[in-house]
Amino acid sequence: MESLKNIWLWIQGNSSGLSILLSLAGFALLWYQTRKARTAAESARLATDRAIRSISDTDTISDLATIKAGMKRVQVALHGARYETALLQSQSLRETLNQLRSRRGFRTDERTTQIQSMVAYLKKLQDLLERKLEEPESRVVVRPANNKLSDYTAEVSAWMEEVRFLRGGSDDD
Amino acid sequence: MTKDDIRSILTALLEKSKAKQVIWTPFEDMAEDHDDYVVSFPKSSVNIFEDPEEQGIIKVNILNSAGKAVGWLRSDESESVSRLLEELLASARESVFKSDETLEDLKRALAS
Repeated sequence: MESLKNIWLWIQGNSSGLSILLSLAGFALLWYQTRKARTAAESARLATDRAIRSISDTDTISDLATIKAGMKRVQVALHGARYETALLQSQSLRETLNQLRSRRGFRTDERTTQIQSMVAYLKKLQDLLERKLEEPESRVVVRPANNKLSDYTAEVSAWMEEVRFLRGGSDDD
Repeated sequence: MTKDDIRSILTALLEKSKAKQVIWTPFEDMAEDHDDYVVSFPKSSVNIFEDPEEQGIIKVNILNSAGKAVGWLRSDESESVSRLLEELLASARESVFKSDETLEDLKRALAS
């Protein structure tokens, strides 16, 4: 009983010092937990950013595959003298190409100029095909147009590989 | 885009073209055998061509990022426009075919 009394007296005499110690320990615990939570939040944010980038790259690869397939369809339509199909495909290709400008990795002057060259060429091809449909006797030389489209298809394939492998969109991941 | 805007753009382009600072691409092999060239920038292109339907007329189309013509000029608008377009077309042709450069090279090679 006597010892309990002594402890009580000691606590009463040192209460301010003890409360400071307890406060410091509480603060340290709080700081540790906050730090842990912030690290977790930052990790979550980084993971989210990475996931968004990955989805965006997958979207870009899908659009590039659409462009490649579209160019091949234009070539096949030109080869088969199906000018209306080639005209509609060219229009659709121009629109998809134009969308690429806002994508990650496609905003540099060099890349946007390459896209612009393709857009301008497809517009010219469209004008030519429109004239052909209006005036069937007007001339369309298929081979040079198809050669140009093959060059563009190769260029688009290279872009696809770049997005897929250089930016971590590989299936091997 | 006014005609004056287009004229000043084409004058600046002519300077760059003469200094070989732009790359012209030929379009002419796609249709009839006539001069047709394009130069592209990040969000625009300039297409200069001889209209196969109007003999002797040179036309310029300014294309936007979607490939739509947003400005144009014809050589029959005035004497000064005609001179400007003729010079620009010749410069584009030289940029593509490098005939002057080839001639110079041949002369130099044969003179030695």
